[in-house]
This record gives sequence, C-alpha cells and structure tokens, in this order.
Amino acid sequence: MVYSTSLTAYDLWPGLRAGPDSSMTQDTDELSSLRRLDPHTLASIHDRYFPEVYRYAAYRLGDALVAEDVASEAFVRLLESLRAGAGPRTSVRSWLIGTANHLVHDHFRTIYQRPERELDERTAGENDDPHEHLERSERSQGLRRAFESLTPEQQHVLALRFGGGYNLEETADLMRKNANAIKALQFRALAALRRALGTPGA
Amino acid sequence: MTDPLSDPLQRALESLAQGRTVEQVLAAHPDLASGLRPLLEAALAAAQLGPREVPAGAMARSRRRALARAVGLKAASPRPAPFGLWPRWALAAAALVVVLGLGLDGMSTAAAQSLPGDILYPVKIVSEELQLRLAAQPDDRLNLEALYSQRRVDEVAGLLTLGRELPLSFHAVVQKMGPTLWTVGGIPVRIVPETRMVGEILTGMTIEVDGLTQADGTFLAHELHLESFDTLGPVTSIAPDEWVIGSVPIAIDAETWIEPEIRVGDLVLVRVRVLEDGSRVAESILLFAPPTPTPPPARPPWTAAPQSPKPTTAEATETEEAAETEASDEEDGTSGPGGAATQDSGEDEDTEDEPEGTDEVKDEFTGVVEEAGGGQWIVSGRVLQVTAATEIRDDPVVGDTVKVVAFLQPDGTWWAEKIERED
Repeated sequence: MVYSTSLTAYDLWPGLRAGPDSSMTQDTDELSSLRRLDPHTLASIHDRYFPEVYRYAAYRLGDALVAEDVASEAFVRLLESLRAGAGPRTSVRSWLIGTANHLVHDHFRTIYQRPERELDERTAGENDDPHEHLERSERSQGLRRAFESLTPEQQHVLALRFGGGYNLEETADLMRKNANAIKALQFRALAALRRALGTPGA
Repeated sequence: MTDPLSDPLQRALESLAQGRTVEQVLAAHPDLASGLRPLLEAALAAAQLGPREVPAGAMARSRRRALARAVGLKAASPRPAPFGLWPRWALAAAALVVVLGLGLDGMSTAAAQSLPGDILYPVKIVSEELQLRLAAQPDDRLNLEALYSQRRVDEVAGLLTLGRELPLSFHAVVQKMGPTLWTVGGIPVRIVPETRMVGEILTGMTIEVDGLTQADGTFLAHELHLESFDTLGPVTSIAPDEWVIGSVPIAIDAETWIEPEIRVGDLVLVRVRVLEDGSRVAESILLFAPPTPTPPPARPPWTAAPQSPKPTTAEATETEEAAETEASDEEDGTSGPGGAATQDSGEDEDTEDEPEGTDEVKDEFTGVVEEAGGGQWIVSGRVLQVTAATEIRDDPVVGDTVKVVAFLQPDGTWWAEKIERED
C-alpha cells in the first residue's frame, strides 16, 4: 500500500489549520443565549461546529450516514444538557467532540456483533476505470481496517489531528491532556497504523 | 516512555501543514529520515481516511432537527416543580407558612396524599424541598431523595389508577422490555414509534421516563433516558482515571467510592452513572462476593406482605408486569453493556416478597389481545401465561377484544384459565 510522498498534507488534509482560533471565547458569550434556546444562536452554533463534528465522526466511523446521525445527535444532546442545567461551561466545541466520541463508542458497541459493516468509500465517478475503482476501494478498506485495529484513544487522536485538522494545542485541549502527551500518543498511533498497514508497497 | 522521535515527528507534521512535501521534510532531517519516513507515510495514509466535504444536506437536516428539538424543549410542560423559579429562602418560607397554616397534622394527611394536579400538591413538593434542605448528613439527604423518587413513581401509579392525563417524569428501574410495553418501577410504560431513547437501555437499568399518564392505565413515554446501571465483571485494569471491567472502560472521578484492596482479577459490582453527554462514570465499585447457598431470610414477623391491589387496569397491569419481570429475570439476562451482568438489589427484594400470600387470587377482565401464541399472551398490557389447560374460545387473534379469567400463581405470574373472544 503506497501513498505518494510528493503530496503535501494540504492536498489530503483539507481541515488542517496552523493555529488555534478564538471560537472558545465566543462560546462563553453564546452559551447563556443557547440555554434560553434562542433559535438564532442555535443555528449559528450549529453551522459553525457541525462540519467539525461531522468530519470527526465520519473519520472515526467510515460511514457517512452514521456520521450524520452522530453529529446531529451531539447537537440535540447539547440542547438537552443545557436545558437540564449541565452541558459545556466554556468550550462548546470540546463538549461536542467529546460527546461525538462517546456516541461513536456507543455505536461500535451496538454493532459489535454485526459480522460486516459497510465502509464509506468515495463513490466511483461515471467515467472511472472499474479496475482503478476496485483498487482504490480495496486500499480504502485496508486502511479502514488498519485504523480500526488501533486503540480507541489512538483512533481519537488521529481523528482529531487528521480528520478534524486540529493542531497540537487544540487536540490537547479536546483530549484534556498536555501537548507532550499528545505528541507521544500521536507518535504511537502513527507507528501502530504503519505496522497495521504492513510494509510499504505490500 | 516518550519516544525520541515524537518531537521531530511533530515538527515534521507542522512542516507538512505549512505545505512542504514529505521528501522536502525528510531532506531537512537526513539523520532522522529512516525513522520519520514510515511515520509520515502513515500520516499521509491517515489523512486519506476523512471525508473531503461535509454534505450540505446533512448539515441542513441536522440543523432542522436541532431547531425542532429546541422548539420541543421550549414547549415541553414544566416538571412538577411549581415553585422552581422561586428563591430557595422563599420556598422554605412558603412551606413554613403553609405548615403553620394547616398544622402539621393537616399537612401530613392532606398534602402528603395529594397527587400532581391537586391543589395541595405544591405544598407537598415544597415540604419535601424543605426537608431535603434541612437534612444534616449526606446519607440523610440520599435517603430522602430515594424516598421522594419512589413517591414520584407512586404518584404516577395513583394517577393511572384515577385515569388522569398529566405530563410527568419519574425515575425507576426497567423491569421488563416488550415491543410496545415496558414495565418501569412497576409502571406499565407504553412505547410508541415516536418514543425517543437516550442510551442503550436494558433490563435492570435505572432510567428517567418522560411522558404522559393516560386514561387507559398506561404511561405514554415521550422519552426514556438512561441514568445508571449496575454491571458485574472482573477487573481487567486499574488506572487513576479509568478502570476496565471485563472489556468495558469506565471512568473514575473524585467522587467514585471504591472499596479498598480491590485488585486486577477481582469480581466487582459497579454502579455506573450515565452523564448527559453519554459518558459513563463509576459511582461505586464494590467487591462482589460469590453467593453462598444459604436459604433466603424469612420475612420479619412485623412486616406485612406486599399488597396486590386490584382491580384497576393500571394497578393490575403493574402487578402482573412486575411479576412477569421477576419470573423472567433469568431470561432477561440482566445483561449490561459489554456482556456484563446487571442487577438491582432493590428489585431482588421485591422478587422475594411478591409471591407470598398471593395464591388463589382471581381476576376477570376484558381487554384487547396485543400478543398471542406460545406460552405467553399480552392482553391490554397484561402478561398472561397460557398452557394446555387454558380454555381458549372462539379463536381470538391479535386485535380482538377478549374476556379473561386469570389466577395469580405462587411464582407471581398470572395464569389464564379462560380467554374468550367477545363479539
């Protein structure tokens, strides 16, 4: 399995950002409005974070439909938690990603006994060469299997770094760890993925 | 434990993020290239796993769902906390005024018997608030909370008996789960396609039930929310912030009560609380001693046998469903997430109590067949054992109205002596 090393991360990693954004401070101001179930605030927060939550879920799950369900459920739970007097205190994003992580766990627990599950593959274009499509599909499935062989925490960190495009500090915030711990975890996750993928060219 | 490559890897990933290629990055670190190359290749592979785009339709659907839920939450009927917006001191003062006005005896006999919707019901709630506030010890407070939680369940049962329709919520243990009817804390809970489930709910778990009491003696569930459950299993690993029980990781926090000297391999009983965001935290972890083959304790002579009230639909259903649950505890498997067994000691006590003094109790009622066939029928939510000795007349099928004659059995189940279709 070969991945071209001439590509930059930007080619494959569209969500990548170089530095932290200021959305966490905005959250605090909006939370009180969201607690009152203000529809404008809700729509604004939803549209701001849905892409991140969806990307994270889709990365973890490899299934677009389930990812949509998980991302959507995270927002519903946000509302219910806030209404119950709980929910995020400062960072809506951290809370949503954390909830999506739990929902992904729950999903896998639910389908644990299912022998096979559909993998999310980029659908073949109308003019795609069938052989090329098959090869790409097999490679995608192999990659997905390798990813799923990682521990949940390793999957979590890769989903945040490479699926969500969060930088080191943001990932540390989201996982409630320090940056050094994330570096070590990221190293172990990539090393494990490399081992699971097999030797280059295999 | 930190690998010497973890820092260079991070710097290499940052270089990639700035637009350099892998070859360019490796060329800048020739001494580390052999170690970094496979990791960067894995990073490129990892970057291919995610979706390139977020479907606009998915986002629109999710936004609609969230907004609809917000509308629903806003429109939801208030819970039985009529003075929820009052300051705490005002609650206490109001309770005091009411208590003084009615006199303590008047309070206990009038307000304490009230149900949601009654004029005096707010007095009861305020009085409970006051007692909770005055509880000196945490244990006292916990005991009161448990008592009041059970009161809410009893109030639902009371409203079902009276056939009143009111939006309410209560917390109780799931005793039986059928396709359309569950038993939760002895209350027959109607499940409809619109019923929303939050969490993976199984028999033996404690849930919050939000819904509506109905005139037919059932509680129509709008939402079922998993709150806590017990899980039994071996300790696989112990860490400061997480234990693994069997194969299930469970978070530990500062309030988790852990019995001393538990080690890996020990069998433990864990009370797990499910938080609003779906995460699970252990409330307590206790060593589980294997049961010894001792006879069950005899009922103390001063305690009365539990009643099996009749004859309203709600109560009848409640009794039978509970009995059915108890009879089928083994089948239900009391199986929790990860395959670990679950149980609730409170329910076990009921199981021991239920059959005593209930022989030869006969009930006749008319209802609609909801499930038929095999050894078990459900008629208007009531579960009936059907044997070869049961007399079945006029071939009733699901949907038919039938007249039933049933007897309560020593094991707590109801055996149908006769089921007859009514024209």
